[in-house]
Amino acid sequence: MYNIKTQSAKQLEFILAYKKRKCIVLFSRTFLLIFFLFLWELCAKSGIIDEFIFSCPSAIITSAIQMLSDGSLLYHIWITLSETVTGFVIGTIIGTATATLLWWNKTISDILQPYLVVLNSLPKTALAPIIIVWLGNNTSSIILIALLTSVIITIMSVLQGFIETDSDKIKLIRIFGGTKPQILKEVVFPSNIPVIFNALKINIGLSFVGVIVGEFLVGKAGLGYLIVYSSQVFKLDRVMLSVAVLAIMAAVMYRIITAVENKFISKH
Amino acid sequence: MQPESGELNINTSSPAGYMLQKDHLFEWLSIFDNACLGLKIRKQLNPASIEYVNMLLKKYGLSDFKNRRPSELSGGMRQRAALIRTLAVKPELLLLDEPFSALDYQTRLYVSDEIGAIINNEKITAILVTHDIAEAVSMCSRVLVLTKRPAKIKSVHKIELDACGETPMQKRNCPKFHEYFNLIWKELDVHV
Repeated sequence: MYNIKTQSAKQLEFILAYKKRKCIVLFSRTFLLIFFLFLWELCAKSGIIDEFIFSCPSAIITSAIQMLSDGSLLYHIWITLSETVTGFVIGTIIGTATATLLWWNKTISDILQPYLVVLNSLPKTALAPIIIVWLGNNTSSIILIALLTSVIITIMSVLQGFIETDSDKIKLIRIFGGTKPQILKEVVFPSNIPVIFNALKINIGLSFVGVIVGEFLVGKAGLGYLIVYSSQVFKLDRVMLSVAVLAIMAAVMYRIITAVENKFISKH
Repeated sequence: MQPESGELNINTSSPAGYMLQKDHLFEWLSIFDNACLGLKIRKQLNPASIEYVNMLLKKYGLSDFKNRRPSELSGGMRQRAALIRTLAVKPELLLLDEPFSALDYQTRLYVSDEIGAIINNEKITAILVTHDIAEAVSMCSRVLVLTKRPAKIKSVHKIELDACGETPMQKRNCPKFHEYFNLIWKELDVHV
């Protein structure tokens, strides 16, 4: 891309410094993780911390291999993943649709404003026991809890984005004689694609929270169930394993959304 | 167009074209799709109108950039694309609301030359609203000076600088240009 020969010494120096800094960052990141795991292992093996309570990386890996070979880990991952994705997708669709409705009708928006604000600050997990009483001890309860945790924030952030759409761009459509559906389709929606993707990124974390809390309470399957059950029988390596798997799942989902976003924006 | 009160007399049935201060090209559309926006909204996209847009893009040097994004174009090119978007729906009257005020001075002079040439070329009546006296004198054939609010027409100046050249830039060099400038400047009651 760049022709090295046309670059001045100063430029080269700058690029070198930049590359060096990048290397340091990457190396330190990796080192930090390895150092942490190593320290954990060392403390557990030397008896500084109690291996029974704190577990250790080697025990977690052993337990991972064992649970992978009997297929139980993949089963729990699949349960949690399917519940999260379902709650997340439904939450996003309902949230965006509601935001569109509220953008469309300012009166409804003004009427619902205080309720939205209160619902947004309310910890949605507090509603989990009620939902389980209403819907029963099953998967649909878990999905509804996940949906509730993400839907309000979606409505609020997408509505905010819709309202803040450049009024001159809307005026442009009006000048051409555009109708409100056209304004929505041609300006408000496409210009808020980044806002919607941001909402998705927040929702993925929130949906996981909803699902895990749901699984804590419903307790039949999934990583949340695995965490609660294993901690009750003091199998801390399984608890730690579940948490680590959750962290990886969240990171992968976030990556997928970012990849879709990049593809969408470059195409759009 | 519906006036709030009084009468509006326009000798045309086709809707007016309108240019805003900024070009407001949509970043998520290509230059071609941006140029077709008005047609799309009026549901007038057909082979003939698309042909017309392509012709305008070609005529005003944007056909090589029709698949690019607005951010890849210079300020002048963007303003041209915005004008083509307006012209695509074939307005007979063009309203320009300080269309150059968002541009830096050099680009502004350059773009007003270009836009002026296009408007002359397409033979469209245009009404330009501006605070820039030099811009008004160099681009327009008639300058209407308005009073402060409530705005009334204070005076009408017929600008005759065609002897010095056709483009706004050439007109700016006319000796008479400064006469008009000073005349209009005195009529504006500016209170700083």
